[in-house]
Amino acid sequence: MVLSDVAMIAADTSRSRAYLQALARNGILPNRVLLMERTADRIHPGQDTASEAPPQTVCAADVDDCWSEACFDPVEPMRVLLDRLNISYVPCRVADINDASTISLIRQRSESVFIYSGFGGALLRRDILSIGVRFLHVHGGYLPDYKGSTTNYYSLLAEGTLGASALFLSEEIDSGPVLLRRKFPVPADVRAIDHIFDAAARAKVLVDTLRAYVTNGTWEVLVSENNCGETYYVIHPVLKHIAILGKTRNEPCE
Amino acid sequence: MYAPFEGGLFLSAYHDSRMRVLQRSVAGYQGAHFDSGLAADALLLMQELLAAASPVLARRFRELLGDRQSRGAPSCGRDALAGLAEELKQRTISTRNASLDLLHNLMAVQLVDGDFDVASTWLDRLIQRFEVTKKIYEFYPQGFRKGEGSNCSIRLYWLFALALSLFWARSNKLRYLSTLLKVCDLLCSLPEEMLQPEIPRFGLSMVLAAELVAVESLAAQKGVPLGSV
Repeated sequence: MVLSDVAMIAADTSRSRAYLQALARNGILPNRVLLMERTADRIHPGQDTASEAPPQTVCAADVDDCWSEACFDPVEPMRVLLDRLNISYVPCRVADINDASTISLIRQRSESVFIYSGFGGALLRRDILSIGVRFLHVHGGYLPDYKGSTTNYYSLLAEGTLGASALFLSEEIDSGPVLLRRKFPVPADVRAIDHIFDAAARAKVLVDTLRAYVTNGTWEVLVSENNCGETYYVIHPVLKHIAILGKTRNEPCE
Repeated sequence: MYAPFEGGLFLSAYHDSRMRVLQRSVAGYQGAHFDSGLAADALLLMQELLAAASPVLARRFRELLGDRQSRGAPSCGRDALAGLAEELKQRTISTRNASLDLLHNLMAVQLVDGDFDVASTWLDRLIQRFEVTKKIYEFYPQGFRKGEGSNCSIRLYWLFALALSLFWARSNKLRYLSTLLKVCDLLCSLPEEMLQPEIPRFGLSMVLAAELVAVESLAAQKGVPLGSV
């Protein structure tokens, strides 16, 4: 099924690949993709280009349903993927979501909702947020409790879970209305959180959000007041190592 | 920004590195007179907070400090601290803020059991500035965005670490520990001769001991071996 009112802003990253492959696997596709491409030197882990992503480490046949979207190819080039899925796309001239030319491309589209899967670290500013479309983003953490960066390592340490939350973007970081959120158990290979499982959790939530939209015919808000919670910053390597090496009990999917 | 995974040896290297700094002599450390009083008061509070959490933590903190604990360092005095704590309630981001005064306010609130909600809001602002810029500036003008003045005051970084360590001990929040680790990385990277005039006699030891207690207890909870512990 092609969602006529939903487009996607994608970048040549493993997260965008996870999203598109998950959507295709579940029979839901965006109407159009605006594709941002740039050189590899500004890529964050979890946003690796095809040449940098590590080989797929987890793809068990009996993978937990929570991690059903973990079996994705993190290296398939975006153009190849888009052609394979027969999704029409437009390359963006610049790789900056806030650039006037990118905004102009978005304005030219008829879709009212854009799935945002741009390059990590970019914040959408007021100009693009006020053009009259909504940007659907999946944050890698359970909102509103875990806002900010690398939140899954903090929640892994505090609760033994990862999280992902779908929301419409607003000016304040991670504070827009939440449509759907999930908690995930500790994955099989905790070392692959950055490259595989963070993207897989987000992709799962994205699929579920779009399924709900198709079922309901509207975007239903789960948490409208999302301005509380705590903001986390890039976790210190010592804490990240403890999170990866630590023993955590397995929690079920939520 | 996103640290690669280096296995258990990374944690051992961190622990050993911190222990080496901790075991250095405190001779030569001086710091401002007022900060020595703050540190003396903070030490007592830290011990109370850790003891309330667990006698094991408190014992380990004392072990790590060893004979570096303050003996005879004068307290700041309750009245002075109460005044500083009260000042924090009058602060707004619509005026220029001096980081030294702000950090003294934050410390004072902790030491006299002041308004923690207000204090944590201000600490979060400083954390945000530090995490974004990796620096603490002498001043933050109206709006508390881009800092002004020097960003090289070791005294400010130490006071920030001290405030973070107490907030961690009180709340057990990982985000305070994460920022504390980054500030301690900065302090430990500096040569002793730069630190000594700026930090009271046992001031560095105290923040490092608090950090190590925090990390060791977290690692123990998670079943992760850590250095020689």
